[in-house]
Amino acid sequence: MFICRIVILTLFGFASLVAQAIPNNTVFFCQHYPEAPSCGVGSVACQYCHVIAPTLNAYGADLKQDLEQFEEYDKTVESFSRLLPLSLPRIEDLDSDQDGFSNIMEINAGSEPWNDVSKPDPGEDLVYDFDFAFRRVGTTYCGQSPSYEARQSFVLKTDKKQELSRYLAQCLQSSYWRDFALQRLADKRIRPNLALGVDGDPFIIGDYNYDYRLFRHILTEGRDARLLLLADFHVAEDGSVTRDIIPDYRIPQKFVLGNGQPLIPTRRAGMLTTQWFLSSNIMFAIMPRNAASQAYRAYLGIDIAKSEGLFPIANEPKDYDAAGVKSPACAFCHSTLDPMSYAFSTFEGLGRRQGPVGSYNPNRTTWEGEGYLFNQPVNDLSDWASVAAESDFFKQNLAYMIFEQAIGRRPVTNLEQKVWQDLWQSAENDGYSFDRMIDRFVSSKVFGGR
Amino acid sequence: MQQIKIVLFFTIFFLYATAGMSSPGLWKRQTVLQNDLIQALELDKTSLCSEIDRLRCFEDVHQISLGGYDPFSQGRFEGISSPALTTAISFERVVQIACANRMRFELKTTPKLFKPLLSGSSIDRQTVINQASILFRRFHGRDISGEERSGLASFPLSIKDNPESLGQMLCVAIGTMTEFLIY
Repeated sequence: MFICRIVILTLFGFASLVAQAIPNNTVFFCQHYPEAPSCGVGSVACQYCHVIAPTLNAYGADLKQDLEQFEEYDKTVESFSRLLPLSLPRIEDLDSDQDGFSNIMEINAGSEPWNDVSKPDPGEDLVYDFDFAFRRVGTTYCGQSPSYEARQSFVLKTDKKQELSRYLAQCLQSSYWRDFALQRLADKRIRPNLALGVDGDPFIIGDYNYDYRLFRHILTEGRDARLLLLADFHVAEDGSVTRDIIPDYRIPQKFVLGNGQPLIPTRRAGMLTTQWFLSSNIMFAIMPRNAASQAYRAYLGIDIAKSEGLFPIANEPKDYDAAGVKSPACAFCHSTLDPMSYAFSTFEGLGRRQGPVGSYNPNRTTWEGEGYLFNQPVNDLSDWASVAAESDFFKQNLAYMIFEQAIGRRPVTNLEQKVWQDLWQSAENDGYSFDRMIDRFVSSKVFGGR
Repeated sequence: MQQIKIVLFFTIFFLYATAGMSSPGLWKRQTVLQNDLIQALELDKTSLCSEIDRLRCFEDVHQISLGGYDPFSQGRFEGISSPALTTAISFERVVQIACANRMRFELKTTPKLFKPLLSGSSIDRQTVINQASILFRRFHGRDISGEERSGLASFPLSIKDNPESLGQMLCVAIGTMTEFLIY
């Protein structure tokens, strides 16, 4: 043990004299590159320059070679720390590991400049290309590539950023965006069914055109997207907004269970309380778990069937409908799902007891006020919707919608994750405007980089 | 057989010419592809493409393989997430039909898109390049590149007496380039 201590002390004493394998070196590096991902804790690992100290790796060898070009470099800590900030930039453009990416690209990307297997995220070397972004805006938001003439005209514009925003704004007003793309974005949230919808035969359980119109109305013209869960109005066929109750109407030779919007405005919660949502998701269930899980999936981006977003509540599930959900195999998920379903239980489904499909019936169950969402108690569905609309999940889902619509999948690479994160974290600053969030996304390298 | 060889010549040449595309590509789904073909060939939706003269290409026959779906009648709420094996076949098929329909239209009216080939003058290599230049602008929104132009310079003019076939081949070869499907 004594010998070990001597060896260690000797090594430290030696290290204080020469700049080989000095722990402080790892700090000096991060003082120069404080934003580098590898400097998250204020220093890099010894392996940044060494294979095993004192043997240098390719990046360390390039650094040493450059340092030695300074006459005053005498391998002491003092000269090393003084000359390092001068030497580091001089080897930034080198590609020490010969992997096709310069050292500075790797430092900024968080990959290893000494290791040819470690390369920057594929997105890190993307450069924003306005012409490319212009074409993508056309294809993604106007539903058509810009013509040759439009591209030529764009190339001549001096303020391309402004012109791109102008073009995007124009596309977001186009019939492609409003009447087609937004509809496709709504499909899996509304889940229409021709056989049971407004043209259903012989049964009609709801008119999902109200859902599509409401969805489109809220996500256009810079409106607050939280209205998806908070709106107390409907959008009529002519585009006008109404808070009135819209009664069901008879159609000869058809069984109309619902084709209006009978819910009183004070109980409305945007897309969650349209007649179609309530009728198609509650149907005959006394415990409307489908309605709650679809609300979770569609507007918060979390799928409880995939064990996502579980916030178990103590002493739950109570199993009010005697469905056997207290059994060990079911209880864990249902300790989240059931409490978040209680708020939906006072809305009439197809097995209506009092009032039309989709109306509010406070006597339908007695457990409406026992609900929870994200571990927060919620008294009713309005409360549920308010908690949901203010959650990070809601913002994240908006960003997912924009990302998936444009790119066709969820973010994968580091760059995509960063862009998605910036997008949802900026939702509040963007006033929850879908248009402004799209504008932000379009200016990212994920959208316009190549 | 000779026509097939010429189509292959064009197709292979243009695929080679665009192989260097480095952008992370997204593929145009059914509606956008349809809109772009309408724009490129100046045909309306009804005359653009149909199979056996009565089935709609984009809404019926090739809808799913081109990434589209119908939420109302099919109960599908999302399209396929990546191109299927049949996507390339459907893509080539709809471009081929649309090109044929445009050529048919041109032969009945004053030629516009195929003006260089259908003007009645003798066809030489420059005519082919002029024709290709129009189609490049129409399909890809850009001018033909030097490399693409020189490739056409060595094009065999053995079917120059059949400008209709030549025009359709050029149209299919240029319209089915990856660049038209990927953006």
